Amino acid sequence: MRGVALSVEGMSKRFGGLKAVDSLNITIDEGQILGLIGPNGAGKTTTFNLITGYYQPDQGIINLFGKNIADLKPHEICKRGMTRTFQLAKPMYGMTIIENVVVGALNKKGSLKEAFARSEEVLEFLGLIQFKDVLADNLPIGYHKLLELAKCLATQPKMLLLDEVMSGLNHSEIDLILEKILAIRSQGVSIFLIEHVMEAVTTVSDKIVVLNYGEKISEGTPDQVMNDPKVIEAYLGDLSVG
Amino acid sequence: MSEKHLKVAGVLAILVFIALPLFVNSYIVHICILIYSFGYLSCAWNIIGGFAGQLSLGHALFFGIGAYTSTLMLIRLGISPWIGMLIGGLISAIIALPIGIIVFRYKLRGVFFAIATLCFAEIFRILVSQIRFTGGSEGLLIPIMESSWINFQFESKLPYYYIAYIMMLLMLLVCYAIKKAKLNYYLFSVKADEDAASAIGVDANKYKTIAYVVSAFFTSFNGTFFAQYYMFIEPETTCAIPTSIDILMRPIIGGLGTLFGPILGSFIMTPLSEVIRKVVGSGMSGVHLLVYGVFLIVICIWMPGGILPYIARSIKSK
Repeated sequence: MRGVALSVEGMSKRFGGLKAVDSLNITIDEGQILGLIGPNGAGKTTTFNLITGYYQPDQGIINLFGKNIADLKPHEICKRGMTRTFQLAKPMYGMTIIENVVVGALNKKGSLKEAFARSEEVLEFLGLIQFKDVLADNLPIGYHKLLELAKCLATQPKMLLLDEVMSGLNHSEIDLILEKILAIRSQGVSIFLIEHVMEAVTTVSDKIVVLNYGEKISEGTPDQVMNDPKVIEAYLGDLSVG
Repeated sequence: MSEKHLKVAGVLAILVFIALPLFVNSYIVHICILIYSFGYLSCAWNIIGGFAGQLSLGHALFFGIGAYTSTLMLIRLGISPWIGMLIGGLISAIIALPIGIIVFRYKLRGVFFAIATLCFAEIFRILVSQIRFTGGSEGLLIPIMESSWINFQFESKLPYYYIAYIMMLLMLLVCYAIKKAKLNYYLFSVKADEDAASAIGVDANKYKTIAYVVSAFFTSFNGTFFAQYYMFIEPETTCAIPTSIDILMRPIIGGLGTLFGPILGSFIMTPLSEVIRKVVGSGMSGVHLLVYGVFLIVICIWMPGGILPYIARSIKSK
């Protein structure tokens, strides 16, 4: 049996009167790809921010490979092997593409030279190598999400959180990212992804969790979830009315 | 221009400035001392202000600690200013450490960091101007001693010239070493986007604090140099707000976060402010600040990022 990579139990977060995330339970096995979907404002990104230490949960346990990380800061969580991309890509302007990635590569001990070598491998893998010495300011917008992914991969994570890495991309770009995600998984990395591109998320995920108003309303294989009346209602409204 | 040409030009420039005082009068030597001295301070400030992107408005604090530590140790204990210089640097670093930890812990960024550092510098200024031990608002005179290296006192300006010059070159080396180290990547990422940096494992607070402490340590040395050069320190000229402004203007004008920008800034701004001071005389003491202001506005509009990056861009685009 596979071990558990990430488990979230009873995690809640309030912003004033708004319950952004309500006693959420999620388990991701090692090597699994879990998709997180839900309408806008359902609490998906908040969930990521809570898990990766950008927000403090009001309640709940977050275990990464069996150790509680709910009190840790983002950089400490990264050191434990979990890293994330941002929905709005955050290229580090003023640095070249490889320098951006090197910052991630320095997460693991070793010299600057080793970090550069590792970064080249990552750029090669993602097909960004031709932009190696381009300033992040001049990187075409279509590659921003790939750069996000490159920075994360360079940290050599065991658990990867991807926040909408496919939104705004065209079909062939999406296919490319899907292929890369599967390749990353085959190296033993567990992946938790938020995605709006439904076709993509159902193809790649082993399991899908659906959020609405901060609550989990459905969980299961892509087929089970897509046929769940509660999910259809959340996305399309209550069809029985009228 | 290739890298080789630049290197040759650099070596030539270093040699020219070594020989320069043999050919010019003592007023020019004096201005050169100020250029190097401010060049040094600008480089030291650039570590936190430019590399780490945290605008410190209170570096007069560390400048003042340097000046007061060595002077008090000399007057009260008869200890050589060279030792006082080192102790002053250590005290500055020790004081910068908790300030850095607290200020960054509570996420004071941008203007809030600037105001916090300004406040700490003002606290120091008020303290030294109120306490009799530090000479109060009248300041302290450095006792005249025999002209010698151990006393850090010279009749001629030449030794001061070379001390200031070597200090500036060493400071450049320190900055160069930082630029080539992992620290530079951490600092740059924190400056670019703190959240993005921490997601990929960078402890932003730790590296900002390191930059602040290193910057404070080196800034302090020049406080001692200033005291020994002018033989007089007082709160209003040593550790008041204009000193902080003087320190940070040059790197901003020359090229924030670049290696040579602060030096270039000093080579432009220092003679300019001296000339203005001389022309206007003692009647209107704030005029050089007015010129700073105008200069800064001009640079911000036409050369955002500073003069050096502007030049680099225009060479590249040709």
